[in-house]
Amino acid sequence: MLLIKNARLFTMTQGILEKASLLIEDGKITAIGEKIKTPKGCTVLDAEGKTVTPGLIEACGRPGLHEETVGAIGADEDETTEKIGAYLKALDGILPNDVSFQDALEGGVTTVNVCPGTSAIIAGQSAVIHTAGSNIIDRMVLKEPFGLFVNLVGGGNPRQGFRDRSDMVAKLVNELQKAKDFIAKREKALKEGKDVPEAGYRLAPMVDVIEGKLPLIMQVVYLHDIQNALELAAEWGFRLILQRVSEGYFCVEDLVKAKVPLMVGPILMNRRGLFQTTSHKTPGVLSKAGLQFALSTEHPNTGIDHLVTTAAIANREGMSEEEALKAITLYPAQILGLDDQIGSLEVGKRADLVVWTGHPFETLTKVETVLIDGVSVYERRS
Amino acid sequence: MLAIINGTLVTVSGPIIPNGTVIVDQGKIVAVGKNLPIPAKAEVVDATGKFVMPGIVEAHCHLGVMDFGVGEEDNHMDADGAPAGAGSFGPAVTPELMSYYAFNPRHIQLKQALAAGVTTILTRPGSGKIISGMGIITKTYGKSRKDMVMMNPAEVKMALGENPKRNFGSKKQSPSTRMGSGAILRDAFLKAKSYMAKREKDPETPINYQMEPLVKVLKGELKARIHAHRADDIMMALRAADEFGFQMSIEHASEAHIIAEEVRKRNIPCVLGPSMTRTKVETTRKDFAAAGILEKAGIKVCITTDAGVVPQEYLRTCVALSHRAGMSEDGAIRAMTLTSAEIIGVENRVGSLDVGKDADVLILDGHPLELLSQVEKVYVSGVLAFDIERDKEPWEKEGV
Amino acid sequence: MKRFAITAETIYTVDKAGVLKNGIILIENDKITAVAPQMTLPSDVELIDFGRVSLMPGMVEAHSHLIAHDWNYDEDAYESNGSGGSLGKACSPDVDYYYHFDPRHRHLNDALAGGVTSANILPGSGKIITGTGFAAKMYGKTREELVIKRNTGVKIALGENPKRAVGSTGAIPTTRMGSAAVLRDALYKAQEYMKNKSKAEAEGKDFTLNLQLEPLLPLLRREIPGRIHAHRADDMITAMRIADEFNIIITLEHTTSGHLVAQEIAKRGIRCTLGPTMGSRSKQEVHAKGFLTALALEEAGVCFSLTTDASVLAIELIRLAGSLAHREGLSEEATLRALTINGAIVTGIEDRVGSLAVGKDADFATYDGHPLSLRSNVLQTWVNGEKAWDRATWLEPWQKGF
Repeated sequence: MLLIKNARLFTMTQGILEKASLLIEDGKITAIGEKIKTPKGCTVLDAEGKTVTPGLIEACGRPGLHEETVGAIGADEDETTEKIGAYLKALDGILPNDVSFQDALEGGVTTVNVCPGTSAIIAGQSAVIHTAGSNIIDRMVLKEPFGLFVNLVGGGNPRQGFRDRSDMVAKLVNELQKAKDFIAKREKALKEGKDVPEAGYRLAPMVDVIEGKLPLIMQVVYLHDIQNALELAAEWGFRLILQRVSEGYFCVEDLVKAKVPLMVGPILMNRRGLFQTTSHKTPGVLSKAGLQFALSTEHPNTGIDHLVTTAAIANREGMSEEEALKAITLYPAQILGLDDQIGSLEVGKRADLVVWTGHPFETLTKVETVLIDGVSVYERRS
Repeated sequence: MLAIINGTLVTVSGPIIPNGTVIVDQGKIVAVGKNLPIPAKAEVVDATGKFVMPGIVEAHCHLGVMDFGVGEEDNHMDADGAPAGAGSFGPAVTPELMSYYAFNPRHIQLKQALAAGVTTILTRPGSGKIISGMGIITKTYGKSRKDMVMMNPAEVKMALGENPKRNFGSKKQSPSTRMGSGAILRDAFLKAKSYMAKREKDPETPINYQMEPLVKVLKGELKARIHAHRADDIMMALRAADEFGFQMSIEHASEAHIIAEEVRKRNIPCVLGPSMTRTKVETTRKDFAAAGILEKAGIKVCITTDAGVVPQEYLRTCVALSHRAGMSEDGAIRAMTLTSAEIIGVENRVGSLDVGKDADVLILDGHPLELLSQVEKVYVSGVLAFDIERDKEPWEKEGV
Repeated sequence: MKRFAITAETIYTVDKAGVLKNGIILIENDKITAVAPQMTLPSDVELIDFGRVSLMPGMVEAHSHLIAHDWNYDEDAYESNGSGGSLGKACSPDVDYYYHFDPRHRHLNDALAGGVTSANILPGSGKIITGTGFAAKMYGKTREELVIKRNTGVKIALGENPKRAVGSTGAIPTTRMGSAAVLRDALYKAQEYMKNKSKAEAEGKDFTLNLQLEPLLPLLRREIPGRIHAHRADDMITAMRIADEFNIIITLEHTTSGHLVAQEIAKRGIRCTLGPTMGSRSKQEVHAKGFLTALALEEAGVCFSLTTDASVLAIELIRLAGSLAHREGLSEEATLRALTINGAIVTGIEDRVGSLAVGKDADFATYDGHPLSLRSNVLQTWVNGEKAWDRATWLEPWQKGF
């Protein structure tokens, strides 16, 4: 049992509560308010002068899957020869105590959707995990699989080896059609009372995609990538999530009309190759048009500890402070389908939260304490 | 609403109209003629001393889908195709690739084409395979890709001659000879024919994305556009068309003038060019004079630059040089406008100054076939897309 | 002659004049001719009042690969081969990056948009010796106007990069031992060459120039520094050992584990660039990266500037590096120095830029808040007394149309 009192609470769903208290029992938030009676035997944390936010949520990154400091031997996110790898699982490749999770905690990030890499067309299944809690990755899982990561961006990075977008679309469409054919075959067998065929572990994820059970997270950079993704989704009916969305500023109306979840970023990046067209202003432009989306670092493209910096810069460049804060908490929780558990300070939700020394967007503010399921997983040493 | 007045109108579909007027409303041409009343709310553009013609139509290029070294990344040349690994055909046949998905509507070469008066293009995969995919017809200017693309797919692109041989032979794959090329082409159509029959017999047969475009060609819904320079390669294409009964055009057609009768009797159009360069053995007998020879033989012929092999801006120059070498003036002007539009299938929308067509209009400061003439204004669907005064070159602007 | 004055609510001179509230700076043509808390101006001198903004010197990026570092540009000249010669595959001192300079490249505008007015542009780190760099302003009408110093130093690299890039081709070095040997070998050859050349000149004999070794002579004569890329502590010690042996001046570039050898750096008076600290730990030798290194270097009295290694990070993120270093505890005064005058000192152009002082170029930028705040924006950037970038009139790509 833990009572955090005298804190400024950024709840995300009920505004900002100045000098309020928050009670945690059995890993959940059980009360929020101005005055909460301290239960017997409860630990008290006086957060006078501090700010408390929900744990930050990284909508798309590769900590642990791409191990830091060891180079190629630890790069487990790209099965480079398998251009169609729907059956590959990020879960099988994440190193739970990689140093990048330490970075995540230092930056207040408590949940991340770990996605496979970008050298394949269909790269594999993502896993949503807490950033601490166990040496066994399965015990850190919140949802697995979440989505199928798809790369639609052609050419560019020589490492990818694709010459051409029409090539990538043709390969993707072929897999979608195979799944559709299988579903038809299965229905026919059921109708005729014959033996029902198995999809097999390679095709089964694509069948889930056609049936709407597994969304496609599509990485899109240029304007025509975004348009390709939207048009394919309209034609095939799969659930689409757009990731990166670098040139989203050119087709704001299309995005507004499509009502497709967005993972925007990284925006704090280098300027080589595919990142030429990123802009710090993209989130502001999209937000002003009424779009609600997640901001992302796509770690390690930007370090995961800089998710809050990304939001601060997005705020500086045109996004409102409130929307920028929601873009790293509530909105990613909604996109990941976990907003019943995380993403805001609300009674009944998991006690995943961060105590900051000040406003998260102020230069000198640091993360002081991070709780996951009510347990302290990080305390800043002075 | 727009009224272009006092210009010399090169209508293409009819005689030249001196001191003529073109009236545009809501993106379409609504009136063409002499002494027309000008509507009160029309913006008046005075074309005194200028020539007015329809936007130029390029029937064969690779703009927007290929890099050409300007820092855009796709190279719509020799991608693998679907499915990964095992497919219905070998690596030299990928009919399922669609230029539409590779088309970058903001490619700088589209802007350059527009500045030269080219308003409609057929852009498509390269010629590194026997069957390389399906191209599209698009304007070079518009509000968005959806706005610009006029026809998708526009064709199935095929190629014979040196390019596929060089591409695959160097990788020790097939084809490495002309015999191999012919076999692969026929094999693809035979497989498609058999698939077509199977689906007609049993509609539950799974759809094969690689075969479908070839089925459309066999049924006459899409044309096969076949890259062929040398006479023997052209004959191979004609032989295939005879055997399988499909509609086709000859792309490049560098030696078509040597076997003109074979082409004429089958009523096959030629997209002729680029005649400016002779880079390979099969282009040895290229000549600007070919245009006039084909025209006189009664063959439908238009001129191409194969942009960016030759930059798109030089289409009008190539046409002028073809005229100098013997093509009629009327035929030459048509070879970059109405005939091009007819050959690619968009003559109902572009290619001449006619009522009901898209308001794609150019204003030049001289006759279109004069080498010294410049394009001053370009209208696409009635919008001023390029203006030589307004849209400066980088070095004309202040500073570095 | 163009003469005008500027004022703003808070002026950070990064010089002995300190921070001036509503101070005045007098500018004639492209130079600063006076700096004062207040000044009576002649009637013909226009006063430009920037208002309630902060104003500081244009930032100086002392380690960048602008223009060269671009997959989508027509050249990706990050690692050029050089003329090939007696020094083997790992050394190309004759590659002069000046020839790669395209003043129309968008990187220059990106720099201005980030408040950066000068940059030291260097070859990469894929060899032991990769070539020579130059320093340029980010705004000007001709290349001659833009380039302010040719030959700012010989770029040298130790650590993983040369081993990976050259060693993988089967040539030396594949180890750190080999790297040191290659560097010593080049310097020994240059010493020998210099001796032979002087002897021939003294005796009036004919002498054939060796264009690979010529660029190393100013290094041996201590006229220009060797700029040595080193992340790990042991690589920095190797660099200092060799510098001691050959009595050459060096800078240390990146200096990632500098906190471990800060005393050694300080006692030799070696100047350093620190960064890019915001990136991920992409290789083993950067495992210790962090902004605390800045504090250690400052405490030891080392002159260091913050770097983005542009475009490893976009050049406009240099100010963000400052904010994060300040957050870790680097004082405001030290941080501002590390973004401006120190970069100028490391580059060797401090006589011209890096602070708002009499005699220096009128390069500055204004901000709508404290320059180190995460939430402040660059408003205007001026170079040589001319407005080079203005947030109010700059159009983003989507504002210029489809």
